[in-house]
Amino acid sequence: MNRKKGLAALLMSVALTGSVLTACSGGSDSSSTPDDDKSVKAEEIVFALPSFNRIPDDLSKVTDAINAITVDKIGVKVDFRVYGPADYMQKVNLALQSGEKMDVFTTLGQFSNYVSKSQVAPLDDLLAEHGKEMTAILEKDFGPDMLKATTINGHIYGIPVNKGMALPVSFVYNADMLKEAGYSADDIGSVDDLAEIFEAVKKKHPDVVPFGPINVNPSDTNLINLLKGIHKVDFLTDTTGAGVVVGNDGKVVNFYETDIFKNGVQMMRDWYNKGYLQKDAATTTITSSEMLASGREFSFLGGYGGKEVGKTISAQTGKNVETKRIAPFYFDTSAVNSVSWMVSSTSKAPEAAVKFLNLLYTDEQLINTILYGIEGEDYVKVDEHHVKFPEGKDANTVSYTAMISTGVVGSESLQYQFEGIDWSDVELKLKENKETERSPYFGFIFDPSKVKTQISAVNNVVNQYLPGLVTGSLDPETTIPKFVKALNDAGAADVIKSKQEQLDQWIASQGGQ
Amino acid sequence: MRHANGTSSALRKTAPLLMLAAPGLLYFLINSYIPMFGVFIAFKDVNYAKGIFGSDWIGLDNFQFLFKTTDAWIMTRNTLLYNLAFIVIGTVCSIFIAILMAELLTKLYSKLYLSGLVLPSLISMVVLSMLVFAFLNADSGFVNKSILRPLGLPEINWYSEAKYWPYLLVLIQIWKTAGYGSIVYFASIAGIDKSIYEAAKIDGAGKLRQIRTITLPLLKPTVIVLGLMSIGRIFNSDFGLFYQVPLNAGALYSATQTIDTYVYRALMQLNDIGMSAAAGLYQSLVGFVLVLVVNAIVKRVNSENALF
Amino acid sequence: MIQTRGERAFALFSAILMGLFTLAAFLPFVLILIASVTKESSLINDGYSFFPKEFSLDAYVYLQASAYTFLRAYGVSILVTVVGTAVGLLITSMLAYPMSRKDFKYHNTLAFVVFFTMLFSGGVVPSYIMWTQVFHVKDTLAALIVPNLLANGFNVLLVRNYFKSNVPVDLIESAQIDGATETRTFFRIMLPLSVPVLATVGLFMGLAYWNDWINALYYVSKPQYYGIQNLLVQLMNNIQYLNSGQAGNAVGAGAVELPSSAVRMAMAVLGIVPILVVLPLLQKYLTRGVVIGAVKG
Repeated sequence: MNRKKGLAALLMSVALTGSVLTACSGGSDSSSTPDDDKSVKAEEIVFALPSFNRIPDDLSKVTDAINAITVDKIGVKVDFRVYGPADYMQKVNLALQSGEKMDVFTTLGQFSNYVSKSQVAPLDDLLAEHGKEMTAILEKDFGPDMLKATTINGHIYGIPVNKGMALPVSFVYNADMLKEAGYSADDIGSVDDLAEIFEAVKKKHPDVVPFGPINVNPSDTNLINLLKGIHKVDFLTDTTGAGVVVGNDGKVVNFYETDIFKNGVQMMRDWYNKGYLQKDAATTTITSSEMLASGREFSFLGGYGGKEVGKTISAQTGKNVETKRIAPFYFDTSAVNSVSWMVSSTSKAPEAAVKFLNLLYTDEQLINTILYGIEGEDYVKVDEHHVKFPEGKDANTVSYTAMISTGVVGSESLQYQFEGIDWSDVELKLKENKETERSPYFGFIFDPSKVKTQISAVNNVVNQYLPGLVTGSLDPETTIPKFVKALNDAGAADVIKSKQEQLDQWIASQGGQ
Repeated sequence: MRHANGTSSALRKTAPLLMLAAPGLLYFLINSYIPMFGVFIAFKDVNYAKGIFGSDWIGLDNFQFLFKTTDAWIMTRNTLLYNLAFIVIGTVCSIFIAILMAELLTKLYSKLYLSGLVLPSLISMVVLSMLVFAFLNADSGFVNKSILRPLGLPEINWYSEAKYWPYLLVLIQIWKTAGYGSIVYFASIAGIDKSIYEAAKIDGAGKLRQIRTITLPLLKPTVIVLGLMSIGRIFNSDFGLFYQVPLNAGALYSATQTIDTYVYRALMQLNDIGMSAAAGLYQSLVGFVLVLVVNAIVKRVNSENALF
Repeated sequence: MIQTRGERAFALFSAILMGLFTLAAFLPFVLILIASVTKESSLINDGYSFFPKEFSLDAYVYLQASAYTFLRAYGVSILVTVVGTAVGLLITSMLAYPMSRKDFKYHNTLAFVVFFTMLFSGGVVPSYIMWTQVFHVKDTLAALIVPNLLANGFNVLLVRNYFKSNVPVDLIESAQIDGATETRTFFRIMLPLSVPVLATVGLFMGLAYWNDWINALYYVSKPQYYGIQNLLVQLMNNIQYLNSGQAGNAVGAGAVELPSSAVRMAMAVLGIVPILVVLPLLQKYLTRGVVIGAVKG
């Protein structure tokens, strides 16, 4: 008895201290910022960039260079943070959840989640005032409808990265092996031509695996993207596939029950049975680019913008790699908004944040400082559009580079390209932005918050069956019925119903405009 | 008068001990107890515009996803059975190794063994999963290529046959942790008064009898305490072991799905801190209740051995 | 001391079995070591092998470019491990001692309070708010030492248990009759008699500090505070993240050059080897429990 009372008292005091602590921490947080503001007279924002390069030890030089531009042009001081891709979400989310200062950040793929939890601020009014140049460049490079992809209930919540968004599925192959097998690039027209080529390659090189998954853990052969492009499937902004629309009939269905999916995985199954894929394709830990580099694999499917990627992969793998497009691309909302820049809903300086975003998308000097560092130290210019590393340096020895992040930030049309990349490819990508077919539901964004429980269970089922099916290692005849049943048990019908309702409403609201 | 004297002497007795305990207690208070107020997130529909404190209370809604799935039974069963297997087999193996080790060190003195015991626990799960794949992959894995094939036995597609994985996972877990776990027992054996063994020897007790009548009974309190602590975490599982090592293979879910892997897979996209807090709270509560029950039983049998 | 035949047989049996166990523990590590010096193409074509067809030191040459980063990370890891283990061991055993005293009124309450922390946690966010906004540990060495790792319930209860069952009560009583204070009893009697468990718990703590990367992930954003595990884990996580295609169209898969399997293995080796160097030095402390008999007799 006595002991229990003591414990209760202890817990009580703990709870009290807890609430006191949070109360005072909130206070101290808001009081600390104005001091800085007075001394520099520029509003300060935190800007976090994901970098796929080595994270530099010392950012102060680049931060100073950035501030030299931003303070001068827009009166905004930038606290520049660079995180690796795996840490990025963790660090940004912790900052947002704990109420730490974090003004401008990106999604790396989960745009609508941030909106549905009100983590990000609506930007429409601020954009009208401070974002005119940015809106103009987005319209020029993509088309007038770009911000539709980040508009929910009439409010704009994010700015998609402005680059070549169309990533048609290409067949990526070892060109020498293709030649040895007696074929040429002209023989590849569509996905249906591949089986014949695989057979010939296999005959010529029995030790070579003709085809493999591009990504591993979970394994993905890009079959789904291929089918999306060929059959115009809109996944309606969540990746589960439990609720999609095929074509323009406005009817939400379960993708895994469609013949499109069935025929697609049946093709994979045939390939698998004929030995075109490794037995362990569904669980392998070695990606296709590693396999290609070692000469053990002939090909894979990848989605790429432009037509220069073959050169890049050749350089990396040391093999003569070429690519051939085998499917068109289809713009659904997530194809465009998956990498979007947002302003935190708790930002104390949303205006400064939007001013900064505006500059980020429109100022050549700013974006290239962020990507390549200090001219003369971290890079040197070759011509108007191209740069290279200074003599004797490379990506690992310069003190700053974030060059691989070109695809996640700013406007591609203003970014320098690395020496050797054809500038016309950038122009081609921008042209394709405008020409690629948009889904009629482009701009619809599904709000999953009403069916969270079902989505979580559906995710789990998809995870279980999909890698096995898209690599052909599971027999679709017996697996698809099980898969569909498991999806229904998990509540796929609720997800579809919820999506249909929201989609109908969205269509109605579009008609009204 | 006498009474007052009694309390002050009791205080004089407890105060110095409390002083010794103070730094540690303070640390637990700060590091563990204060953040515990965060469990309320499990009952909130977190909305950042309203702030975490201002978000709506939604009762037990966040817990639903743990039960509204056909996997609920499988993952609960797996988590429990694997943990039981790990506790029982792991303890037996660790004690076995500790006894052998103690035996050796008095005679065949070698520093190699300690490294050998600790080494497996140092290999990260990601690297371990690559090693296991090197052994088990269907095309060029060591087991298929160098063992089954030369023996003329049919090759096995390890990553699509769930039936082998309960054994494989137990084997891997034991391999990884038994040596490390044995160090605790080893320290206990090292602390046993050697004169007890001498006396037993004079009485004519052989080695096995010494182990049975002296070593094992003296290890009992350690076994019980460690066992109770493991029971507290019986609804938790090592994510790396059940997710990384089987390479997230769908065909193996029936054997590899545990509560932790389910939560990870389910929330990967939703990224909802309310739901993940709910899952954690659920795991802790079950463990807590079980520990209270088992501890009460232990206390009834022998109050010396109880955890608290 | 005369050994009976039974004893010799048992010793032989132990030696053989332990030899086998040690072999089982070492072999996979040897495989990692060999993989790290195997040519990449050979690794993919023939799989991992104890006898690779082609050797290559490419992986280490690749890592050598970041030699400075590695040395600094070793420095951070060593400093954090030593300081953290020393302080942690002290407060852990100081807390365990009163809990082991059955005549101490609150010994069970304390045990419960400590054990409770092993089961329930408020999650990452509340801890993060507290450590960063109240204690301001962000981007300091304290961030690597203090949160989560300084003491844990498991170790405290382990030490308490050892105190309870291996140190005779009459020893404490006789010391106190002689007028020793609790502090003196603790430092002069409990600690010297408990070297094996202190070495064990010290080993556990040391390994926990050495292997930790979570604290740096949460509380540190400057690479100069990264320990060796952070370098390794970050690399591994990034590889896994990019390979799994979660980055989606953020980067064309062709754009990122990932370190090869051999490099990953080489990094694993770099994380493990220092421990293998230090471990044998610990050995003698683990076995030093024999003094009790001497004191008592």
